[in-house]
Amino acid sequence: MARPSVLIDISEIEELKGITEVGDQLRIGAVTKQIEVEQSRLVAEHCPLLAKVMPWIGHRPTRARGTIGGSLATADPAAEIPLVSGVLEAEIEICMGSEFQRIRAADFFLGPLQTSLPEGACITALLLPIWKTENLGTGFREVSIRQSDFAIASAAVQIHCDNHRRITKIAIGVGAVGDYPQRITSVEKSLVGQIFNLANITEALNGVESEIEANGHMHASEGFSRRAAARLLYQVLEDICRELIV
Amino acid sequence: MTTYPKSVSIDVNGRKVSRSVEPRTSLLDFLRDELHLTGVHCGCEHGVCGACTVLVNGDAVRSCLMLTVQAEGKQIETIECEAPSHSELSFIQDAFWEKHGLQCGFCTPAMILTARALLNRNSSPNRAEIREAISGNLCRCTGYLQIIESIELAAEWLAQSNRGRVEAEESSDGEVL
Repeated sequence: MARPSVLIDISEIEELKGITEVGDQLRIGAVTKQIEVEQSRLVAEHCPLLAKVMPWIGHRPTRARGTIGGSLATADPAAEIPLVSGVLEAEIEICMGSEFQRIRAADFFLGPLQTSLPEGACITALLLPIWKTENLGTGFREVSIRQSDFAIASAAVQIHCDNHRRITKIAIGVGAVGDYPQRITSVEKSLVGQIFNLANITEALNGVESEIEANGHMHASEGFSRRAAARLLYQVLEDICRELIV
Repeated sequence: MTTYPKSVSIDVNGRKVSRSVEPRTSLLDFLRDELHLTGVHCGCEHGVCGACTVLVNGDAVRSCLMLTVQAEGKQIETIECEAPSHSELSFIQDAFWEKHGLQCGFCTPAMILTARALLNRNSSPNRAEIREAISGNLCRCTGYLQIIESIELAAEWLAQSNRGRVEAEESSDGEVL
């Protein structure tokens, strides 16, 4: 990344831009600018979790030029777009020569700044599943030393309830603390079918710290990272619990 | 080392500029070294400090993270086009003067351009919105409060001048336009 032998500017390729609804997926072209995703009504409507994280990415001047594909390809462990992709089980469409392939987010992010993108391939789009809008709750929080710094810990949740506030579908993930976005499937399993209230949330999150893989680093020890991620998870679920009107 | 200069045509401060550049030349280096627009400042050269901020098609952007060849066909504005003439200050510059929004001045061109981009899209920002807008610009001298107050004053003046215009239009034919 620091010293490429050849640098190709793909930012003006029209086919790689744009936000469209395709069946039950929201398709975002790889070269779509982050500021466009932030301001998009389609994204706000069909993928509110992504809309929620956008203002947390860097600063407005960096979002003016940064792209969705760029964030995915860089795969910074603290990045917000990969976290949402991981939580929602998005697909990343790539192009290799004239062949298109789709890679599941879980198979795409391999480690810090490492993806399964083959040499010579190019990301063409991010495909996010569209959940039913009714009774949909989304939440995101991150902590960093200053606003817009790289996240030290982050948590993202998307949840769907029936009309009796019983959880029908839930996706939970933490970011920044490990090598790549982590789904917390154990908590998801224990919450599905439960009534969405603080008591059930607290019970489900009991012992969640041991489910979270964390690396320590200069700004946060392993223990701190784990505790921060767990705490953010609780706060995000509490946020949604408060806001969801069912 | 073989070089492959590319010709570019860019609108800089309202004038069309055509030059031959190395593709690896950043927009920052081009504006400073080739066009001598030294009001664009080089701080960190990796997108963190914001001193290199210019407006590209009206948006505040890091010129250190943009290659000159990527500016082809775009409108670039630097601090050099902020003042209406040699003997005048723009209302934003005036507000910075009034509220002591600068000390050494290194971050100031970027702060003023960022303020202009903010006021162009949000003419009455609250304090939180101003803080958020300049959060990508580091200042080592002022502690930021005077910068925020300068932008608040500029917004106030903008609101007054817009109100004055509407009132004048109202009184001229008795109808709100």
